[in-house]
Amino acid sequence: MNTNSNTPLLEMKGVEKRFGGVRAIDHFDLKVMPRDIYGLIGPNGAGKTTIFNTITGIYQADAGQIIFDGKDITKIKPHQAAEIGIARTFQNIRLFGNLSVKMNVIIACNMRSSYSMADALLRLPRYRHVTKNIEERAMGYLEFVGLTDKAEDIAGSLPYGHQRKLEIARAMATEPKLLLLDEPAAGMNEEESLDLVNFVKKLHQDNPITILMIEHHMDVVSRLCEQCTVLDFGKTLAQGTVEEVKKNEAVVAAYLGGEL
Amino acid sequence: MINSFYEGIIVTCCVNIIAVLGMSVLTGFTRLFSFGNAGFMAIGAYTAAICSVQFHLPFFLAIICGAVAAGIIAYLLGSLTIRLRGDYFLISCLGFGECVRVLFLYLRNITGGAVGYTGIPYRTTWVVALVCAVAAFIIAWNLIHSRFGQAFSAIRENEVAAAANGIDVVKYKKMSFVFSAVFAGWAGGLYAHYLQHITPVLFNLPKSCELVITTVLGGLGSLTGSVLGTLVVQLLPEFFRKFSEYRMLAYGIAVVLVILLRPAGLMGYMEFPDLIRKITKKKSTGGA
Repeated sequence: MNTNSNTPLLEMKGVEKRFGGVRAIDHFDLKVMPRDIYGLIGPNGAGKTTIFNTITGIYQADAGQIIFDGKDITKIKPHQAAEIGIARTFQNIRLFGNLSVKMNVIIACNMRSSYSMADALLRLPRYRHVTKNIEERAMGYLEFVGLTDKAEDIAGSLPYGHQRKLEIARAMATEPKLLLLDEPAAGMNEEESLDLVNFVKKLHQDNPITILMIEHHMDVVSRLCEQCTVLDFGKTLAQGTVEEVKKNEAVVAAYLGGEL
Repeated sequence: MINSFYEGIIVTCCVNIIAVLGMSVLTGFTRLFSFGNAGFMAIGAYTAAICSVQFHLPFFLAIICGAVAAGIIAYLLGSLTIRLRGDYFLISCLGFGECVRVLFLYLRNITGGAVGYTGIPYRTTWVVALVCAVAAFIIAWNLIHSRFGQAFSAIRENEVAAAANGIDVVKYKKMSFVFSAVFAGWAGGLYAHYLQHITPVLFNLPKSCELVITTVLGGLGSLTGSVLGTLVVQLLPEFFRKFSEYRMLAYGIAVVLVILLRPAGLMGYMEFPDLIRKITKKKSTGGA
């Protein structure tokens, strides 16, 4: 919709979310430009995941406005967020655990498929054609994340790193414009997170997507993101390039501390 | 051609298979528990019976009317209750089932009350029942292996992730609920045209429980398991006629044993072909 690269793909204006008396996010502003890889940093409980949940309609914002691709999506429902092109992964991986790896991706592909109930119940040619097509696409996404040989395995039985990649493959299968990654490097050692950095870079290069990611590992953020926002207790501490943010005194005091 | 004892067994099995397949889609694949599906059977049975007797509709049209009526009621009920959390939804279904039974008991002019509704033509022969059961199985199988059934499974596995992947959770839950009610109504209509005389007590709470128990026993997430479960639950009491009073006791013990020993049921998350594949695979790796 927006060809002008000066308009942000995602914009949040004064967004507020309260739980009882607690302000989980307080007057939050954010501008993510098309094709950015944007970082969201902050200690535990800073409200990062709440921001994701507000964007994807799991929570409704109490105040403020969220604009995606020129449309107001403040009051969107979760499945509608997926339809307009916002996909996400979860901090505590949420796969369809008892289903096969391939089925996890097929279910995500289904959103962009079209055959009717009658096509399905009577197995009409359209059903056969579309499902074959979907299966091929699903295998394509699995190939991209390197899980082709695990396609028939049960998703819940995969090792942790593979589950993370499957979740990303599933998110990509909804053909998003914006991909939200919630701590993709959580629980990974240095080598694994380096591997993840390369993977996300390739993902970004090969697909026309914008990425907004929550991450604790500063090395991952500095390798991937140009711009980032640092949060603490629901408030924005700093916003800017990673290098600028690292030098910000408030950030150093609140979060990065002796780490850098 | 076939004696009435065996015909009775075949028809009862087939009718219950249809109702349990509906239950299986709802409980086994969408993880929604309903203790009110006997209510939908009752709606199907009485609607089909009245269509046959009062309006002289042909048999197959009467059955369709029964199934559609159950589906419409499920849609309306689902619009009110499907957003409720699991246990509250379950209780609302239980209440609904009992309401239907009591309503049919009191609407004496229309349903014949406790005495029952009589004069229904005998149309459900064992052949009709068998054809219907096979058709029901194919329909359920095709549904489960389409994007609709895959959406049900996704909701069962993780509602939040399902929604994040574009699945309208409320819409698909309602679809699953209506589907199970249509199958229950279909089963009820067939049963009415076999018994020729129906009373509300046929569709009481123990009947609803029996449907749930059969589904759990046969295995959640397995259509072939549901068929197997129905055969076990319907046939075992026939072979142990002397102990038929202890039917509910036996169900209870069976469910406790299944939950303790095999929580996913006889065929949990596995269809019959998968089972064969698994066994042959095990044999070949064991032999090597």
